[in-house]
Order: sequence, then C-alpha cells, then structure tokens
Amino acid sequence: MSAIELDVDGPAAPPRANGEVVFEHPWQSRIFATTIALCDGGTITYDEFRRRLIAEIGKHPDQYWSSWQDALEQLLVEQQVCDPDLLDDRARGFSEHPGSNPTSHRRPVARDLAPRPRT
Amino acid sequence: MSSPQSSQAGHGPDHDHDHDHDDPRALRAEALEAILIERGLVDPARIDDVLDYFENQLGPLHGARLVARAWTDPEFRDELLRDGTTAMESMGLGGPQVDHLVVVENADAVHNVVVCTLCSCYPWGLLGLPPAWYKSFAYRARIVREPRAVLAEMGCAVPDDVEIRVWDSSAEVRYLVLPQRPADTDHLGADELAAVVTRDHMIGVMR
Repeated sequence: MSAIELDVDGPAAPPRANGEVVFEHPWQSRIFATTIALCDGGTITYDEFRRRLIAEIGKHPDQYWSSWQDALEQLLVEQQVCDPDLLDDRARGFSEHPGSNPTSHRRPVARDLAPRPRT
Repeated sequence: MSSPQSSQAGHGPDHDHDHDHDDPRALRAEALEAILIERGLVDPARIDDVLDYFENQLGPLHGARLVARAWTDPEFRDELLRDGTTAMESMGLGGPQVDHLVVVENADAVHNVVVCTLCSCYPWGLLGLPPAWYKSFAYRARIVREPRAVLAEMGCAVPDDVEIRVWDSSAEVRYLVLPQRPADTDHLGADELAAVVTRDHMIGVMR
C-alpha cells in the first residue's frame, strides 16, 4: 500500500494496540495520513520527516501526535511548501467560520465500521 | 481503532463536547490539509485511502479471518497448513511482508510461538504493526532459550505436559500460529469467531 515502514520501537514508533495505530482524535489520523500521502507523492521523504519527528518527541515525549504535526509543519515550511502565516490565517478562518473548509464536509462526525465482507 | 468518535451532544450554542473545530491543533491540521490539496500536493482521495488502510485493513483482522475460516472450513484448514501462501492468497489476503507464509497449528499437546531472532520479521499484512516487545532483545533471545518461562511472564501459562515449538521468522518465511478454537463456540460464524482472535494468539504469546 505504501513503501513507508513505520518505526515499531524507539521514539518515532506510533502508539498502537493489537497491531493497529491508535489515534485519540480524528485530526491525528488526518495529519498522519496526509504525511504518508506526501511521502508517497515525493513531496517529502519519510527519513527527513522522521528526523524532525524524533527531535520533537525528544522535547515532548508524551505528545506523540502533536509532535508529529509540529514536525510536519516545520519540514513543509523549511521546504517552502507552506508559509506559516498562511497556515495561521487559514486556521483562524476555519475557527471563525466553522464549515468554511470545503474538505471538512467530506468527513463523517462518527463512524461505526461495518464488518468487512468475506471473500 | 480508536479514531471514530461518538457525539451525543446537540449542536446548540452551549455544546461542550470535544469537537474538532474547538481544538487549535485540529484547526491547524485542517488548514494544512486544505492548503496542500489546493496546491495539488496531496489528493484527498489518497488521504482517505491511506486512512482506510491503517484504520481498517492494517491490523490483525486479516490474520483473524484466516484463523476463523480454518476453524469453520476443514478443507481450508488443511490447505492453510499445507501451503499457507496459496491459502492466504485464495482469500485475497497478503500484503506487506508476507511473501511466504507458513502456518503452524496449536493442539492439546503442542503450543507454537513465533519470534524473529535476527531482527523483527513479522507478517504486517496479516497482523498489522508488531508490538514493541517483539523487536526487543530480551524477547528475541529468551523466547528461544526459555520459552515456557517467557510465556508465563507474558501471562501465557503453558502446562508442563504441552510441548512448546518456537519458530524463527526470517526474510524468507513468515510464520503464523493457528490457535485452537475456543470451547463453546459451535454457534458462532466465521465473522464472530474472527473477532475473538487477537494478534497475540497468532504470534503465540496467548493460548
């Protein structure tokens, strides 16, 4: 599915249970998937991202997904893919006008997964 | 997965449930995603695919379906034990790091457990992400030397009259344990049976 091999131990390994990555909030899974998609698309490399992730986790060992988000933002800003002011403005806009993000309408507020069909 | 959230609160002005639009980090994540999509750097459908993979497909579910099928279909069980790779592929399963699968079956007098003594070879496509202890030096070394003691420490007491077989996964071969079907499950179908099979059963650190 993806060429990326996530760390399974050490500081960069995501929290997981019973073989699954564990997210506490939907934004964490979105930022995770966005990162993987950026790596697969060649915008960033997982190695570059991983170095920054480890550095961030070193500063905030108990905040895995926040560290992930900070590491991704840093890398994209450094590579001039994204401007920090633009990011601030956009986040403020979404805060003041909930629903102004066209992509958020594509997301259910809750999901109850149906059993997978048997093959 | 723990990501789906349930929300019972209404949407009145005083709602206080944990909603993403109140969380600065959620807003920043949305902002970043929106900018990247606008610039054509990520495809939203691709993000959904990645999420589906990690939330619904990567995990022990595929392995559990193999086990449940083997419990309910004797012909499939025989095929799975004879040629795990072909049986797995016949169900459309496989995926990362499962090129050659060997399935070993527990019995009243036999318990199987899997390790990778060299590194951390593991059937990701069937079991999802390996637990941290799987790669630990203590597990890799001690499960070979003193499997009964290590299993007991992990909460899996194997009676003294049960033989323990330890299998060493490698780049060439990935092992999966076929646990014994629990008693009193004759009324359960394959889907319900799959739900009782965990990653630990299929590694063999649970009996």
